[in-house]
Amino acid sequence: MINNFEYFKPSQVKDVASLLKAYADNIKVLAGGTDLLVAMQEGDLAPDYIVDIKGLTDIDRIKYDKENQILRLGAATSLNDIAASKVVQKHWPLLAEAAQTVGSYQLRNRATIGGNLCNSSPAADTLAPLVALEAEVEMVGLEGSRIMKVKDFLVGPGQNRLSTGEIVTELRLPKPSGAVKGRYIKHSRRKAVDLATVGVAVIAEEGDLGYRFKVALGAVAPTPIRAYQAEKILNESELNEDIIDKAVQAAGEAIFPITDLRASKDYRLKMVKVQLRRAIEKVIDSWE
Amino acid sequence: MKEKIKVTVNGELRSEEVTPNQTLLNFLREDLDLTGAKNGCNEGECGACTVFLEGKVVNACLVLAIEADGKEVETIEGLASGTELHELQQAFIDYAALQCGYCTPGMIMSAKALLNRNPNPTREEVKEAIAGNLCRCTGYEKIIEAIIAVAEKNS
Repeated sequence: MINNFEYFKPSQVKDVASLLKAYADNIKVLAGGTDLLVAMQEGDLAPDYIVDIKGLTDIDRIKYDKENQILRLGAATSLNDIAASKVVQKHWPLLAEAAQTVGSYQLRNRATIGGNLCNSSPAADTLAPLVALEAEVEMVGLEGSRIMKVKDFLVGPGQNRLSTGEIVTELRLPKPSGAVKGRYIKHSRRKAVDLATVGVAVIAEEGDLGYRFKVALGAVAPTPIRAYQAEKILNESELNEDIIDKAVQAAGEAIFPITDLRASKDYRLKMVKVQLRRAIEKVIDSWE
Repeated sequence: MKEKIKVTVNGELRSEEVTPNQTLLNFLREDLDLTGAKNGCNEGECGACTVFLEGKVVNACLVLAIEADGKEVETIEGLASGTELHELQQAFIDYAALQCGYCTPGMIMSAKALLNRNPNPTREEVKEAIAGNLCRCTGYEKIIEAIIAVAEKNS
C-alpha cells in the first residue's frame, strides 16, 4: 500500500526546482514510476510530496541536433521509444539494444532513460552504454543549468551528483564521427524481467587509424566503469586472439565486483571476461 | 484529500475522484468495478494488471490513477463487442490457452499490443512480447499458439 502524498505536475522546470528545494528529502520526482512506485508499494519510500515531471515541454522528446551533432534525449523518454527510434538505432545502436533488455515490454513503455540514470543502480542496463558513448547529462535547478559527463554524475549505488532542487532534464550523446558498431550483452539469470548480473558495453568507431574501441562494464563496481586499459590494448595493436585475451584480462583487473543475491564475486569476475570476449568478437564480426 | 480526474475508459468519458496514492489498477477495480485487470505482484513483474494507457500497454499497478487524467485507458472489458468476443479472446478459448484465467486479461492485452505494432510476429517475437506476463498453470505453449493463430488468420 502506497502512503498518501500530495501530487504536483508543473509545466515549468523552475516550478519543479522550487518544489524540490522547498520539500528536499520529503519529495520525490516521478517520471515512469517503475522504480519509485515499486519502492513506495514496498514501503521503502514514503514521501509526503510527489512531483511528476511529465508535464514539462520536450521532456519525452528524441531529437537529433544537427548544428551541434548531438542526440538529445528528454529525461522522460521511454526506453521503448529509444529502442524503436530509427536515429538511435542508426548512430547509437548500443543504446537501442541496451534499452530493450530492461524489464518487460509494458515496463519499458513507462521506464525512462532519466529515471534509469537518476536511480543510479550499478546494474542499470542503459548506464554502461551511456558511459561508453561518453554521454552528458543536463541538470537544471533554480540557479540555472549545468552539464556533466554521465561517468562523473554517477557516484555509487543509488548515489549521484544531483543537488537538492535539481532535476535531470536531458541526456546528450555526441554523434560518432565515423561508422560505429556496438554491442551490449546482458548476463542475467532469466532472459526477461531481470536485473543484469553483469553488463558489457562495447563500441568500435571508425576513424583515420581504423576502429577505436570503447568498453564499459556494469554491475561489477559501485558504478558502471570504463575499462581504459582494455581499450588501450585493443586500440594499440593488431587485433588477434592474443590481444583480445590481454584486453579481457585487463578488464578483469579494473573491476570490483561484489557477492549479492544474483551472483558471487568470483562468478561475476568470470562472466565479465566471457561476455566481454563475446561482445568484442561480435563487434569485430559485424564490421567484417 | 480527493482530486478530480477525467479519464476515458473503454471509450466512455468518466469524471471521477481519486486519492493521489491510488494506482490506476486500484481505481479500475475498486471504483469502476472493472475487475478484469488483476492484482498479482503489485510491482511490475507479473503483468496480470496490463492495460492500455494512451494506446500503449502498461502495468496498471505502477501507474497512479491521477496520471491518467485527460488520457485514454482500455481494459480487457473493452475488447468484446456485445456478446461477440474479440478474436484474441476467441482464440484463447479455441486453443485452450487458459486454465485458471488469472493471467489471461493481461496476456491478451500484451498480445493485442504486439499485433498492433507487428501483425506478423515470429514465434520469438511473441515470446518476447509476453515475457512480462507470468502464467503459472497453462504454460506458455498454448498461449503462443493462440496468438500466432490470430496473426496467421489476419495475414
